Amino acid sequence: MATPLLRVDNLTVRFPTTEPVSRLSFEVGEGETLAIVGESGSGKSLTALALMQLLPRSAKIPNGRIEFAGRDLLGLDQKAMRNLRGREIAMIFQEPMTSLNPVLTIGRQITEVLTLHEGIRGKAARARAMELLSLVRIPDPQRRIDDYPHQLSGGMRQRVMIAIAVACRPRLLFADEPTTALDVTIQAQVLDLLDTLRRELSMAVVLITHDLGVVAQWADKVVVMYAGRKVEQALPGALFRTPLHPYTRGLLAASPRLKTNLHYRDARLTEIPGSIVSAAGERGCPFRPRCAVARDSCAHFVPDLVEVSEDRLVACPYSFIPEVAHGVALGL
Amino acid sequence: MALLSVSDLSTHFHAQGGALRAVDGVSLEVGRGETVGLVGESGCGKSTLGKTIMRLVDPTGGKIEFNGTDITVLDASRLKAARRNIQMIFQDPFASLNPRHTIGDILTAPLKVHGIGNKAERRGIVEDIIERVGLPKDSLGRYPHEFSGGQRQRIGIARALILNPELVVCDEPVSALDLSIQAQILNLLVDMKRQLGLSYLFISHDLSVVRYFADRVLVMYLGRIVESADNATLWTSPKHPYTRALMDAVPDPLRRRQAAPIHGDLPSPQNIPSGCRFHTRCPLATDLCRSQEPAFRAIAAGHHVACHYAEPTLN
Repeated sequence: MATPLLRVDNLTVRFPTTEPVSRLSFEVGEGETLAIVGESGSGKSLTALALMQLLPRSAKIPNGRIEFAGRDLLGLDQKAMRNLRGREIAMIFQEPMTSLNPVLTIGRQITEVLTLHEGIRGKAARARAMELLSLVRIPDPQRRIDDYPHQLSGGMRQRVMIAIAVACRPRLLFADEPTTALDVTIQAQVLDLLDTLRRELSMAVVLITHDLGVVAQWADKVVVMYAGRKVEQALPGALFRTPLHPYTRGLLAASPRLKTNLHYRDARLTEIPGSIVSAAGERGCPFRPRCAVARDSCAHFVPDLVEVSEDRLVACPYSFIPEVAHGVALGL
Repeated sequence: MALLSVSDLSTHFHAQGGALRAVDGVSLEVGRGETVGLVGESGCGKSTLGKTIMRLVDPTGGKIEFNGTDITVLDASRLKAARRNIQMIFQDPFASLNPRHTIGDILTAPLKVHGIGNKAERRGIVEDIIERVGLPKDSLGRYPHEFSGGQRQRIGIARALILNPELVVCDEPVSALDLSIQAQILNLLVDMKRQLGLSYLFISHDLSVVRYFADRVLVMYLGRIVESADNATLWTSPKHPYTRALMDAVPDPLRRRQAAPIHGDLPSPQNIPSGCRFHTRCPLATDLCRSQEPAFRAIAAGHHVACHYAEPTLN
């Protein structure tokens, strides 16, 4: 197997009183889209920040390895990392309004990256910025390039963020909930664009999201996180056909979907009781306090990730017992 | 008689660059015990419509009737009395609770405003509602920051229900919540409806939630309702191209992706396109659409649509 572009091995992120990411491992191949799914508090965004080395100062990485294109990122100094960030690894965030500078034109914000990383200035930079705006399908770039962020719609702002992110043709793009703040119609357009760029620029994408529908349609591979740990990994088709971990099953059952005929007059939605807060201080399986099929033994140890078939990992020793499968009613 | 009946309602704002027509001639009804879903993109005017119905924003024209009373023209004291029966649940459970008040104070305030009960009675009502929404009684002495998003939304629901209203306007009540919590809150809203005989106007941009939760669905585009039908009909035979595009844009885990169904953004409500307001984004638009606004007409019993090319459903 070829060396993956990004390999995260046993990564732990620790704050003085909490450990929001625990022994996380995953790989992303060249040009591949990996989705990391989880709810707030699952550690998915911190994982991205750890990889970009943008963690707050109070955070420590006591163990783990992050390898990008054969280089150990944790061993790099600030300067080398700054060089890499934006040039080889780029990131876009959920709320484009808070990541764009409100007092600079979008043209200025794009050329800034080009000047910083590639030394392109003046007219050449402006021309390149214009190209980038058309690359992300912003209509009428000549007119738009001198606009300020507030003059653009949410979808347009996210396109500008993408233009900045891909300005130096990065090999890896982190997209942290890139469409959560957008309408479904705009979401489809933005995801379409990301996927086209992934192909055109042969760039790998790590898509961090809580939206299972987005995952199914855009990811090559899915990692499901809960309370800082990977609880399941699968190809999207398999994940939605036969979810294994009780959390994944619960998520699928809990989501109302267009193509099901579920209606409130006939049926309740399947709930996952409680909230992710209950995982704090749990010594056993972090999902145990909310799990419909938890057993006594689940309180004693954190289940290992077990490879159950090719490309398929699950961290629940009971996920194969038929009664467990029935214990979490599938809403499909 | 419908519980809520809105006719030709419009809410325009004065803004730089001309009138902003947020709600531009909307008629709708909510029947007793009914849940009406209102869907549309951000900026289509659905929240403004909800707020206008609550009389939190003054309408520019049209009429809002609640229980047969015209509430568009009520003076302050009679409006206050009417509001007892119409309550609202907001999207952001973080922004809609005063961080310096205890949950007990937050829930008691509406009772005081409406002069309900003495101190002991109010305490009883507050304790009853907090348990109904699934929170322990000792929550009453605590502050909003001590609760998670899902729990705060339960508090928001308790506050809306404490006056025993007939109609609750829910403005994106689950959009800010995690998936695993959404189902809890939707189930709670269903339980409350059953127990208290509520009617809901349920505003959401999330079609799959509306699919589950509504009896009837209204689709809004740039200040107007463009399609309305009962739930089953709308999902099985949507007629307006906008409704179809909205549905196609929802990513479905069991279907591989397709190209984005519509292009471009919602036009500005300060500059509403001529003719059919959807024509700038409609894949089927013709010259007729560009010049003439389609009427909102019935194409089958209970199914209305504003499109020149929507075929009547054959019986």
